[in-house]
Amino acid sequence: MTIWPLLLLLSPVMSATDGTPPSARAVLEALSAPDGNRLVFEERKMNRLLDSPQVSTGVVSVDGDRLEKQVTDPYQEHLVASRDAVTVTREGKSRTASLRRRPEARATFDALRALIEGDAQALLARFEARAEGGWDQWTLVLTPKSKTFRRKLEQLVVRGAGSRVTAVKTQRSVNDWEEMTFHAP
Amino acid sequence: MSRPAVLSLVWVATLLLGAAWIAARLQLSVDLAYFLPQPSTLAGEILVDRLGQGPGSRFLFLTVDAGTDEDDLATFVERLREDPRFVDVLDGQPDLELGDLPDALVADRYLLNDIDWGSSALRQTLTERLRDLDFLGDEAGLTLLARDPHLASLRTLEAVAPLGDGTWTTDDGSGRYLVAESAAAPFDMEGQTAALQAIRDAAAADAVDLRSIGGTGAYGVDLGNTIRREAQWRSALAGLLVFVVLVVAYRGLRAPLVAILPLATGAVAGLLALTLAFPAVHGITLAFGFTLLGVAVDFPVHALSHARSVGGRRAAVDIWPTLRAGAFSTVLAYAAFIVSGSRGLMQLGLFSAVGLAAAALTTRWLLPRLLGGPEDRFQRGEPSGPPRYRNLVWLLPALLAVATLIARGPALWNNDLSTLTPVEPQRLAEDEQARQSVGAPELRYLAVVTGADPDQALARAEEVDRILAMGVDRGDLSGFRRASRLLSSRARQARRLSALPDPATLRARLGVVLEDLPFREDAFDAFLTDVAATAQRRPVGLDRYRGTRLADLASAGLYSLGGRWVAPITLQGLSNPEALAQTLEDADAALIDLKGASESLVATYRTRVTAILAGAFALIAVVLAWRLADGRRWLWVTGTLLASILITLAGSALALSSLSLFNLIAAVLVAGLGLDYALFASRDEADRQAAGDTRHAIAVCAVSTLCAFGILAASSLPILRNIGLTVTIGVFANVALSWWGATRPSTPGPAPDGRR
Repeated sequence: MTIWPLLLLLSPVMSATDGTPPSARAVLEALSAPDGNRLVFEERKMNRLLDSPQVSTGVVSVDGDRLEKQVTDPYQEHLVASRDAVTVTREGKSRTASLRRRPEARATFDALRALIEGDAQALLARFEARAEGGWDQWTLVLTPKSKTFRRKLEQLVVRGAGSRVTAVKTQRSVNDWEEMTFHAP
Repeated sequence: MSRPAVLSLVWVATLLLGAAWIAARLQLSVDLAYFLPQPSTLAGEILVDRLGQGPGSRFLFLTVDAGTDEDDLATFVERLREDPRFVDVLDGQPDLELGDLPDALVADRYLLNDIDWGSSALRQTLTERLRDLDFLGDEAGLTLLARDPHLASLRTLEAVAPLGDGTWTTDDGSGRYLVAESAAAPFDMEGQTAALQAIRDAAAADAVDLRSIGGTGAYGVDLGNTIRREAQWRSALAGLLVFVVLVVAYRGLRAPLVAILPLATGAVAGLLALTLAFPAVHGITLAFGFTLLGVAVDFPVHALSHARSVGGRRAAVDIWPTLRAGAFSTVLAYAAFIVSGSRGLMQLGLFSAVGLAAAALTTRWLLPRLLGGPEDRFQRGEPSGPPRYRNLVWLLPALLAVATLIARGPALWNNDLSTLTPVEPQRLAEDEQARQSVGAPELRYLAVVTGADPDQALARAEEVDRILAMGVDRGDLSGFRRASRLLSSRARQARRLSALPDPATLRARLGVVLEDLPFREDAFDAFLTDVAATAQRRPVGLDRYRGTRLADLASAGLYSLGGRWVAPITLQGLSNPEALAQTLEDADAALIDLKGASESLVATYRTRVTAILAGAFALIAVVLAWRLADGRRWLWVTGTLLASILITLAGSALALSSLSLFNLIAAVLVAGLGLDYALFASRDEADRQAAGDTRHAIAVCAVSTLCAFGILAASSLPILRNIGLTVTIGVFANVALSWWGATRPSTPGPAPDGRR
């Protein structure tokens, strides 16, 4: 699943910009409820069957536990993700996949919820977190602590600038990742 | 110890021993097939075949509070999954495990699916897969994609087990459905009770707020428990009332205690016959059997009433000719059920005929020894003279009853078995909602394709797939599931094999297509290898899934039934059965309405029971003609009996608005009682005293029967109310017709020569 990082759109808001490199905990604790809910994205996907990243663009929005992703180019697709399942509608036909029996997807989900809610405690229980850069341009590298989890997900790389998350990269292996970059609509 | 005391002790001891022997051997069955006649149509055959084992009939729908903690719920589900009493437990739609697809489906995918091997189709397919990377992005998905870019193996799997919508919530959102598939059949009361208990235990252990459990099995258990509870206390109360009636009628405890013995003997003898003749006895047989055996209470009552004036020994001899004529005819009538053709009714006939015969014989030969009294005839009073028969008393009511029955028309009979079950309509509605939410198959409708051999059935089924898919597009139904999709006709497999491109051609086509797509050049090498390997395969047959985990599904999808091969297709969300039935018919398939089939089965069954009743009545008339030398008496007795059966049916139809099988069975008891009353009422009594005793006996019989069945009639359970009401009406009709139909002259006439 590539959609969970999108939940990070519920942007972390900086309370302080004092120029010193923030700690991971400080970045996490600065996270709070978002005010804008819609963002334009560009997504690049890469895996071992592709010879170059596959690019798509569209709009994402978040409402509580519910996330919507509308792909507008190069094809039309509407995706709705809730806590339990993800539904994709394409050319009028819907398909739903449950997340119930995918503990790794759920673990990722839980981690992201913790990120959104600024629950540093829950997040640090599952991930090693490392922050790089300054408040004006920071990178948060989240690495699963569990070995089984790490087999499915190498790391989550969250980039932010000022008070916004600018990109989320889901890295499964060197050759297998998705990255979404965001702009205000 | 006195001789009667010794005899009664020996008698009771023998009965207890017999009961113990039977209890150790009697096997009870709840197999519904016991009470079903041989089906004569395909729909009927499939219905009988599927009763208790249809898809979805083993589902138990659990409703839990939507706020239940996820982890608790997961533990709960896991606990039940490991329980051998469940085949599977689902919390929401099962996820497709891409890394865990059955090998056969992957290996046979190009034999089981039509693939367009052209360049443009290939391009379109691969373009679509690019968009599917959200779903297929993990390792298992990518591996599958590389081998099977058409996702053909998934298509087969989805055709037999389609995907639905994540979790299942109730309409108001406050609850969540889970589905537990029980290992036990839905009518296996013991197995279902154990399954329900396991669910409740697990819910308690894992702090899951379990609101309700629905589904066929759960209702069956509820039903069984309610019937048992209702039947138990009502039977106990009825027995107590009969006891009180007897105590009052005979002014003491001895009479009721003695009167029980012939009845108990009949019950033990009947059970003994069943145990010896059948490996298992149906529960309903016993319930109905004891109802029919109710006539046996009347035998000792006649003896007791007459014993008041002439002593027990004399009384038994006195009443015997009348008792014998009645009991013999009734035994014959009950025995008519033995030739009914259904095992359940055969058992019912054997039990009640043997039981009644035993009760009559013990009333004649053993009971008098307990009652005592002199052998010699007492001094009698003035003879009362032979009865006068008022034929119109039975003729007019009989005609009125026939008119009433005819006026009801086709509405007279209730063919819907479900209205006889005490499941509350609200629970049935909840069940329907649960089924819709979880996408469980329609229980009422089923599409069926048949063929002379497996290939013909499969070829037709493949055509029907196309028709159903169009139906889905039109909105006639929301989906369908055909387990025989796991197989394919040999001709079609051969066609698919010959359509496979040769490896070099496919490689070249793929190369061209990949030039414009972001896939790596070697991304689909595994696909090329698989296609080349498939070209070496031969068409697969029925034994393909033997020993695999798809074996059950495959054999449920295509099986032989009565010389035909049948491929059932389960339907979901059917909204336009009429339209679908028409289109299916045009394709050599049929939409089977299982409800309709069950109704026609019930109707067939009832016709059969009615025919048996008519035959039994004719038999009684013949036997009576032989036993009763008096032609006028014969006419009066048979007429009265016929009239009281007709009034019973007409009265029941008016009171219950329609009649069912249960009313017919109850009418058989009414006939037995009516014959008894009519024969005794028309006895050519020797004197006024004897005539008084006879009337006393009939009154005691009627009052005790009314008490017993009146209590059943007051039940809220349709089955008890049906039987109780019918017998109550019947006893009134019997007594009224017998009482007023045969009168004695007010001035005593001369005594006839000889006693009878």
